[in-house]
Amino acid sequence: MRFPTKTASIKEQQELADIIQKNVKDCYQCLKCSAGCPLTEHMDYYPHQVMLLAKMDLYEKIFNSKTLWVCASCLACSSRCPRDLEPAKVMEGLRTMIIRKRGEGNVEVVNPKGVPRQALISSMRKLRR
Amino acid sequence: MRVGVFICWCGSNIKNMVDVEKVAKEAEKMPRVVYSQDVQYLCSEVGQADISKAIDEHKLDRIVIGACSPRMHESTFQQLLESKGLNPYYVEIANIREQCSWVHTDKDKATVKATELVKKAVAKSYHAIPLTSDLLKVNKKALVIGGGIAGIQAALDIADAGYPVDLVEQKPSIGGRMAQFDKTFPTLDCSACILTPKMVEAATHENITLYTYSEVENVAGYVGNFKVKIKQKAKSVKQDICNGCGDCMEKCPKKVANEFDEGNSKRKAIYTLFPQAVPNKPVIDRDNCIYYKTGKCGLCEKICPTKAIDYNQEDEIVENEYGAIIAATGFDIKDPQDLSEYYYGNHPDVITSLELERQLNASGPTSGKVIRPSNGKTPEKIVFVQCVGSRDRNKGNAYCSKVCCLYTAKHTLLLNEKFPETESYVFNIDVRTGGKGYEEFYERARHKGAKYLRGQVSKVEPLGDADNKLLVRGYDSSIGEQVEIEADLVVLATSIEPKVGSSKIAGLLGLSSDSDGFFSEAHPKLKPVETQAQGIYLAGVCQGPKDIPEAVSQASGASAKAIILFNKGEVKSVPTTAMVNEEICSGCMQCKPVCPYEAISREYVTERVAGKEVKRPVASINRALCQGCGACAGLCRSGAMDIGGFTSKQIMAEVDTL
Repeated sequence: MRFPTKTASIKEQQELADIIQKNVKDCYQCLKCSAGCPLTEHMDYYPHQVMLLAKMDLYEKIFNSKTLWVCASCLACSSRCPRDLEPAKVMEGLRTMIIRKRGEGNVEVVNPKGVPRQALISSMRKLRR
Repeated sequence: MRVGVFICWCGSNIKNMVDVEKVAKEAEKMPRVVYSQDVQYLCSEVGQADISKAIDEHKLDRIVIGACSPRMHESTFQQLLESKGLNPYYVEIANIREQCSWVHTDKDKATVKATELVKKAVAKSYHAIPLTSDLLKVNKKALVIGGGIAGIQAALDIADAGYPVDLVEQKPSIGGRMAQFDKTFPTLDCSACILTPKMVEAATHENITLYTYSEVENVAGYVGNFKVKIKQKAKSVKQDICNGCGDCMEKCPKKVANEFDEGNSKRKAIYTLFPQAVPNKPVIDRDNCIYYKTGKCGLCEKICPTKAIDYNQEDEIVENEYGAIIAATGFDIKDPQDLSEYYYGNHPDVITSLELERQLNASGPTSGKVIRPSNGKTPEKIVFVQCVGSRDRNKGNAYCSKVCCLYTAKHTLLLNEKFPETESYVFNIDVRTGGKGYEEFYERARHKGAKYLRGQVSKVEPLGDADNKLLVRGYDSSIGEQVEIEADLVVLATSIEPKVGSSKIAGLLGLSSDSDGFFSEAHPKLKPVETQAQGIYLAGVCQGPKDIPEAVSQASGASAKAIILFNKGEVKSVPTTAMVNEEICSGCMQCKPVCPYEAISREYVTERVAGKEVKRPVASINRALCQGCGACAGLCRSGAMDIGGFTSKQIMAEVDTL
């Protein structure tokens, strides 16, 4: 990886922040999310790597990874995150961004602040895919 | 003679490796031992009560203790004996913890060794002689060496307690390293705003005398009565006449690299260290002044409106007496050129953190603007490299410099605030934020956009583009990939090292230093400001890397120790001094030159030999000066010299029993 490289625009960064209502820069890379994730063997980027790439504004790499769609939204990472950052929510936010971009989303975002019934909605989206 | 033996379990520390009951039983069989006992914690109140009771019941007059090192609890037991009306030097300690249970793994063998050690101590106790200490008067004046924030704080505290203090600083101004800083973590207080009032207070305090541009030349004496020679270097400017107008500095034609700006600006040969210097009067740097080199110029003398310039001033030696000394000699930073992978010295855009600090400072070489030294433009991508020479056994220092993680976080925050277009990348091994509010400060730096990459930089090299950028190669272990950054500026968080010349100060004061060159405290936990030399205390980074609040706390702690000494007004002398047996002393005086404390002199005794009065020379000990090192006793050819508590008889008795 070489910097400068293509990073997410301010608009994209704002969009993610709006959806997840968290600051990804809170992450201090304790690796607890990856430590407890049941699906890492099927992932290309581990959850902590997704967090780091999000923190470094390298969304493009995450958008092209399998990880977002492997995540089962079991929320193990979210419940344990010492920064209360909820990596599952960050993944969901990034998935939402992909879907919105492609215009494939069939779930109208009524309340852009906060993601309701996250696990349910995220699995619906994945299954539709 | 009735000897009592007490064997301590030290909880499980001794008991796990030494059969203490067996040792106590064996001790009973030793000659003149009338009582023996093992106790769980001998130093506790209960344990001491056991000894006290046994002294009364068995009329003991020698106590032998098998326990931890005498350095730990000898004084505890000495006080107990004193309270029972026995001389404190009638206690002998066999070290069966540090020198036995802690270092062995075979319980049977360790028990045998412990028994031997006790036997040895019992034999030594037969020859114990009562020793007393004298009370020495304390000179109620303190010397503080080093005029940084630690030295200033120590001087102010002692002065506020009502005692006179002399503050010696080798630079022309007090202020030290803190004066170079722009902001301080974690509150981002302006460094000058909180330092300069203290500098002025120190300069105007009625109890403080400043000796700037001065060095300590010689230290003699002992606690309460130090004699110190201070060399005041010639300032070549009459300080009482100069009004500090600064005309001379403006007109001086000779420019030299400004050490205060880490060499990144020029100062004149006649100069004040920085605009807020205290005292704010210039000195002439004779090594660089044209007048001293060629005898010509003399411009400053011509221009000075008060006729304060004096080219013929000479260095002055001042001799003063002090009761206590505080060492606060501070630090230097490591030259990163040794670590050639960082390219420092080969590219102008690789700088140290202190150089960046000076750039950020409003009175620094760039008036607060951060620039790329190569082209003067504002950098966009800035790479910070942590642990440059710290935690590096190979080419640096094995220890952690403690402050770099936080000042780098500070730099990223300041850059973000002043120059929002900049982007900061921080390569780190790990981020250490021990301290109140420090973790939150680091969090703030991350929030504001500093990008932390976990891994060290392998190489910095020129990119070879038109902009003369640098390519920083590293690896981020979190992402698991090699990372390359095209950087405009590379900032190295260089390791902190003891001040150059601090080993000379250590020699003068009789201080010991650790393997890294920092002064050693008397005990790492319980005596962090005291040293092995009585009456000499430590403050600030000279003892080890620390941040400003820690340096200030330690300075206040050190000054409290000096104030305690002054309030008492007298100290007990060392009782274990050298003693001369005048009857066999031949007066050869070979002992005099080996004494490091100049405590030995030649005296004369009058004797009647064959009906005539004869005067015969003998060595005589000044007990106030003698520290009981034993150099004289080891050397004495006639065996006339002995050290109290360690006489030849005692040592030989120990050897004979083994």
